[in-house]
Amino acid sequence: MSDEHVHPSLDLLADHHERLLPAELAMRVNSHVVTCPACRGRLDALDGVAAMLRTEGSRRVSMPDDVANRVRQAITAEADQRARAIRPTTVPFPDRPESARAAQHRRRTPLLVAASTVAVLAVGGGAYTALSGGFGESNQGAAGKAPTSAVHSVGQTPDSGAHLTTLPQGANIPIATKKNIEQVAPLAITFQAPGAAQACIRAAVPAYDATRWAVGQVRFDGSTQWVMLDFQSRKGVVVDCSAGPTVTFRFGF
Amino acid sequence: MNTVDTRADAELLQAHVAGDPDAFNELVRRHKDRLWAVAVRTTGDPDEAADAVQDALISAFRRAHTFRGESQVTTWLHRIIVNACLDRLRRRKARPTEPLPEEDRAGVLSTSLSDDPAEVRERRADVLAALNSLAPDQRSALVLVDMEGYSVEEAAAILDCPTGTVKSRCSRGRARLLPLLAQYRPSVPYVPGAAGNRGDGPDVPDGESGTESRTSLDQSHLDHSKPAGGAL
Repeated sequence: MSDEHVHPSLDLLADHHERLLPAELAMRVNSHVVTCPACRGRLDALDGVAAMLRTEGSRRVSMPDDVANRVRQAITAEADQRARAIRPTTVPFPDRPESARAAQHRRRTPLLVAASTVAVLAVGGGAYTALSGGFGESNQGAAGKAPTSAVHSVGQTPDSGAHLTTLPQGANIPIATKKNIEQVAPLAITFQAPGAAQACIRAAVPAYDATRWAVGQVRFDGSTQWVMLDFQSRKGVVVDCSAGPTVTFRFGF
Repeated sequence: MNTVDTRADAELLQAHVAGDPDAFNELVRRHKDRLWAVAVRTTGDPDEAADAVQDALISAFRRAHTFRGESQVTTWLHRIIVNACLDRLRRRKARPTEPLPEEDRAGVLSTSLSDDPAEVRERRADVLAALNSLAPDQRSALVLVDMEGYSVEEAAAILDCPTGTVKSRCSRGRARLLPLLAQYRPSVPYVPGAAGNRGDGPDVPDGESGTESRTSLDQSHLDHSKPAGGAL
């Protein structure tokens, strides 16, 4: 039977109209359509359907006020939760470098130096407390380790399986200070840095492991920088990506 | 005095990630109406749309750090909205539903519904009811391309599928709608025998595999019945 005497199905016509058919089949459908007023009418009708949808779509639809308010409240609640989660809960870092004498005294009596900046962070349903601050380059390693009794596990993150620990506020953590630290308070914490930051972080810290390290942003030396926390080695690194990958601070916790 | 935030969408999202408490709300303020239009037209239900939009925007708030800048922020937001809507539609499909009450359908149409003549209101309600009868994938493609005016490429980015799939979903969706809306085009010489296979077929994927399967289907898609006019 010739194609001139059969009608393409509506699906076939619609696909033909969208130029989705392979060449041979398209030619067969086309040769029918040019001789069939009924099928040409069906093609027009398909255009009419699209036109009706366009007409309906062109009507302005505004989000109802009650929905907009509800969404705004939900976002505000989320923002408040985030703000509470990252708010420093203890005293800020001193704004002057620690004197050698003071550092010596601190090293001799580490337990007298309380954790000075502790921020509670919420990540993926799990929560931990990160010590923000730590050891300067010059005295890194000399300040000792955090008392293990002050550290307890709170489980694993759903995203990475990274093991998180919590350092309770007020734990006796020996810390050092660094010149020009205005504040080290995480602004946001995650387990996956944005793509744009990944390259910088990897360049600055070759040991960075996205599956194991928590990543966040901090205010440091007057700018927003990245902070990485390795909960296995209990070391942290602050990286400035604004002018090329630069490690600006290393600390332990 | 309120000042206009002139930052680009990507800058706002970046600022949000960096801790700016107002940046995300500004993004939502800018795009809420279009996001809402997509949601309410995709779900066909204002309540479902409201839930989907809220879930999606909270998800976007939390996942902002995952935005890689490979697409427009609006495309990214729309993708999250559409996915939230489709998730809800799939869940709804799994449970029995009742037709949407007339007063709720009014919310789907627009705020200016009451200003339209009765016949226009009826036609618009029928268009949306017909749209609601489509499979969610076809519906979301038609909402984005035909109703919201996105290009096929943009819709493909939002729906995270090839452009050929978007075209196919649109073409099959229109074919499915045609008999449902035939009353509004009385002059169309509709072919009765060809109505048995309208828009229900599989999507035509991109590439050669689609070509091969299509070639083998050609006879099954040809309708041997006489048209209404009996010309062939």
